[in-house]
Amino acid sequence: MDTTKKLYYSSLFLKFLMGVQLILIAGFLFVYFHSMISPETYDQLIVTEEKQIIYKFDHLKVPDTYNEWKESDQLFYYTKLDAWSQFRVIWVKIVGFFIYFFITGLFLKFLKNTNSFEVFFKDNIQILNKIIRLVFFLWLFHMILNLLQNPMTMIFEDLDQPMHITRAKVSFDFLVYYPIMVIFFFALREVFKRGYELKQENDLTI
Amino acid sequence: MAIIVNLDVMLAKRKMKSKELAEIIGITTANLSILKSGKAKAIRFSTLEAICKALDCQPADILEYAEE
Repeated sequence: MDTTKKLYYSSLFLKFLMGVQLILIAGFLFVYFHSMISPETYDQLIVTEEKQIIYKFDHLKVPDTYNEWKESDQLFYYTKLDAWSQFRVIWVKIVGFFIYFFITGLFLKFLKNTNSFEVFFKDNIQILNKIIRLVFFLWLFHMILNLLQNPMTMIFEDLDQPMHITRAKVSFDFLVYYPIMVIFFFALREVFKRGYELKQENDLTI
Repeated sequence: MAIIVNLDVMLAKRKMKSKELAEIIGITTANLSILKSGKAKAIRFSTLEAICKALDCQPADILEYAEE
């Protein structure tokens, strides 16, 4: 397969990814607002400790009381979460996918420049700068959320006083992955900067 | 830049136009203008040779070093 075809298929794949990200953003937005109007539709939505949302086909009944929940598998039900926890679980994903959507879009532009053989183009350096900023923002965003706003709370209002069940799990993966991504794009930007300088030097050699 | 290009002086001495020189040495007038204005980062030996041949001069007649 020649380079032009490889680049073409890569850009197609990136477009597909962008489409998936848009669908996911729309889906999460729909779930968030629709669950306010009709919570019973989302009874089978379970939130894991890692705050991943899963749809449990085999689970039929959400425990109504705290005692029922205590005797069950002790899962975290999306519809039982308090308003802030619901907001956090859904909107972290929406913001994350939104930033990834932009990063993928920028990467697509980057790929198009390569396709038109404008390899050491000033635009590429600006694109890489934007990607670095977005990844850095994502890193800060995850750091703040993981360290400051981590717990999620489920409420059962069957007793005299509402029963709050809070669960939190901190993952420090973001301390490794995002810096590696930032360093990678930073190195790439420096290579392109040097390339651009060399191209300019070559252009100004008479 | 510490290197001064005296191409204008040589062109005036030989009573030759820039366009004419560009045609003889086989470069564009735009590139010759970059060279004359001192914006060029480097000059190829082949270009220098062609200029010296066309203007019947030495490289030192075209290029000069002056401390900044």
